Amino acid sequence: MLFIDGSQGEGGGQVIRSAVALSILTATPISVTHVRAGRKKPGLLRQHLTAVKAAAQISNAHTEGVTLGSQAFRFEPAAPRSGRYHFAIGTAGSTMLVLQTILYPLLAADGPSEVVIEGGTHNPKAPTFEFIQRTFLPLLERMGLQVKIRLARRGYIPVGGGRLEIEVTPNPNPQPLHLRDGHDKGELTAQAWVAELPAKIGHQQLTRVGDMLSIPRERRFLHQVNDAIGAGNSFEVSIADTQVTETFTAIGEIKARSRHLATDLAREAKAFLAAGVPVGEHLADQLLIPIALAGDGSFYTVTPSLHTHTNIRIIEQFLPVRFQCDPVREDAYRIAVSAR
Amino acid sequence: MKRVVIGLYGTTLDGGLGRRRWQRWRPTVSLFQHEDMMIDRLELLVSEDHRSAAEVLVADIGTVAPETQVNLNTMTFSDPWDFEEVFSSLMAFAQQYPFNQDQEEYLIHITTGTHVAQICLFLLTEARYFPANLIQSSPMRKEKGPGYYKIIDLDLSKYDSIASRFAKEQEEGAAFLKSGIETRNARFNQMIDQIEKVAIRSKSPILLMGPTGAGKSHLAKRIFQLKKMRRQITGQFVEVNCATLRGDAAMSTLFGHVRGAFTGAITDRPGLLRGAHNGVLFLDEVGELGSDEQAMLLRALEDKSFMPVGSDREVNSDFQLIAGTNRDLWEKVHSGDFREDLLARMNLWTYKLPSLSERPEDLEPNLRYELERFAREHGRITTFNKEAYQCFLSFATGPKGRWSANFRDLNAAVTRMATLSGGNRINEDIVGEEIGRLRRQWERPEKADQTLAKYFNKEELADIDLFDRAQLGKVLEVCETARSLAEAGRVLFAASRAKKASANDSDRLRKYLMKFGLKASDIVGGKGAPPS
Repeated sequence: MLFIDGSQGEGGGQVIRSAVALSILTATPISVTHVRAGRKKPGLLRQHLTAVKAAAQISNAHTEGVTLGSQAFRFEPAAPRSGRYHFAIGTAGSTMLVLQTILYPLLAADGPSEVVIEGGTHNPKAPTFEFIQRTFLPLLERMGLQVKIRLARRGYIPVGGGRLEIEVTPNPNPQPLHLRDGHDKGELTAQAWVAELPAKIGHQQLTRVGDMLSIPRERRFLHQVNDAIGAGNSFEVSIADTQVTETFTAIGEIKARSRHLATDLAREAKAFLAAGVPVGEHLADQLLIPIALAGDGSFYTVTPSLHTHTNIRIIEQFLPVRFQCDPVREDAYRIAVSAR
Repeated sequence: MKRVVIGLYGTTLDGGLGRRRWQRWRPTVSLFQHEDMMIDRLELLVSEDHRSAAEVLVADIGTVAPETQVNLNTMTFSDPWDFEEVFSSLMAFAQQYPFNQDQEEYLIHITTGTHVAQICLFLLTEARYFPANLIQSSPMRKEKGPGYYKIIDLDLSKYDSIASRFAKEQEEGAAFLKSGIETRNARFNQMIDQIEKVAIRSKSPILLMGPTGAGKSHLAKRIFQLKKMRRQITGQFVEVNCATLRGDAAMSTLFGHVRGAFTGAITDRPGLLRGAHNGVLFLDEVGELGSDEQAMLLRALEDKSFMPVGSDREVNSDFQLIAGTNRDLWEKVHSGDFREDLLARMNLWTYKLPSLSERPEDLEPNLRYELERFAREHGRITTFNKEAYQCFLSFATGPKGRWSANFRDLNAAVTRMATLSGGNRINEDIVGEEIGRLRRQWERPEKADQTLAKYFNKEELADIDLFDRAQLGKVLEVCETARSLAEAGRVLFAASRAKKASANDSDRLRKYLMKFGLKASDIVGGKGAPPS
């Protein structure tokens, strides 16, 4: 039994999702305490509950204390099982975060799986579908991990109702991934999606981001979404590179002014370009588990966030690996993992 | 534990079929959008007209809360602002719903529906027809979002002020002694005020006088409870009617006995006085107490100790005595039936409880009290309709309302009427019957009429004026008890005799009786006349 302090580092839902996924992958029963301690609404909220329950389902885990508001729980998994799964998430919770929890266990399962996840597909504080598909999955593919993902319907907060269809082909032995330093500053593309909202909103966002980042008009695209259940908006900048096509996303929120969102997004992209590394802050987070599973890997990225540090510490508790995180110049770090 | 919400479909706030409905705050949907609350089932009450709109709502709940099961229950109000209809429909739902409190907890959503429905839901929840807590939802103040929710458990002490809103706040002291009955009779109220002060400050005996059913026993019990509430006594309330204590058993019932004191005394018996140690002993009809018992009681009052039957050792008991009587105890002292020293000991605080007919202004509050008492005891609230109430009240406070057994009569009358109403209102028919019943009961002929009945038949009596009947009855009564006509004359004309030097009272009496065709010699000495 491995004891995990849920309040360590960033102390939020990420600790829970990583711990549960690694528990299945390493067949290690875990006891998590201080779940989301110190948050305004501490303990497991509905979105965390859905993720833990989904993980329990695919691994036939025995659980205790996996209830709403619970601040401590036990998770004792069996081997992950392939199959067809369907998970529906309440409160427009992020489908991507559930995917994150079950993806590696399913990649280590005994056969291919088909998974449908319903809920939010473009949530704040979560990867978007475009990021996963365009930026993340190609890197997994380079490691020999095959995941196909299809966006059947977009789902925005607070309604949700989005639908994600995923096919997973297991591979128990992922290949190492090494990304070299430097960025060749390829083409920038700006895109915006609006559902049930005036197109004007998307235009303003594209203009702002496009102008700040000098993206030519023909590389600015506005999409009107017709099949979403509720209203919503997201916009992004993708930056091509020979190694990685990075994606930076902003989710339109009713309370937030579009202009500020667009300014922040442009600044984030500019900082990334200035750092001259291939991997942005959020992608760095996503790459930690796969390279740790491969037992070997490295990449150059911007200054690691608290999220990244927390995730590293969790992974090191489960897997026989050691991460190294070395600064190479201003706002540029090399993260490497090796077997212990 | 599963969480189940029961609520009405809000036709205005929950409504909306267009795509923009998600931009609005919808109370029922909002309940399912909270990250920190999960609901396993929703029982949505919806009218037939709004069923299809409600189905849109159900689908929307399915999107934000796929784990929740939603059941649509048809409840159609022809007038959603009609209290009677809404209340009875909701109550019917509550009564047939298979609540399973061992496995499910229930929340009544009171934010949707007309204000009438909201009030009815509150009332039904408070009355535990819905074994549930209330849940209230409210929109965000500034930003968009699911807003807020609040679960209200009416059993929590912080809601006591709601729960006890009926309790009379002044149920303290004097009001407590009156059982919260708002009596209006000034003399009665004054008396109770003083009893309250005495009850709180004194441990001396209290003597309650008054006719049967005037509430002596009830008042004694309230005095006990008041003292107990004020933590002045720790013991029990022991009550006994002295008229039921007869012969040898009387002594041992009151003072106890030791084993073997007499045949049949197989075990020790502590007796009522010891049972009232540190408490209150209420001796009703204390005038009926035998002389031995009176002597022992006096001793117990003065020394706080007495001797159980057959014992050679004294035992102690410190109790407060409240004595009740419907007789004039001074008369009993004069006739030698009651110990003067005992009466003197008990006569420190003496109160005469008026009969109910002496305070007609208190009849109405007491009637209300009896109705409430019936509701408490039978779990059924019974009221009069307005006309029936007026009818009963005017009879009860009028000259025909004799209430000869006082509160005992009123209590019986209310019990009968409330029972006959069978949970409905008491109507004029029931009141009419009850008035008849009470009148027959009180019409027992008075002593004077009984005497007259010996000498006259019904037809003859009907021919005599009431004016004469009263006088004649009394005259005959005196004559019957007198040994001679002269003696009867002396009694009957005592006042005028004192002024006059001489008078032929016998003659005057004989002539008076002759007027009614009666022969004096047949009556004097209780011989009784053969019916003419």
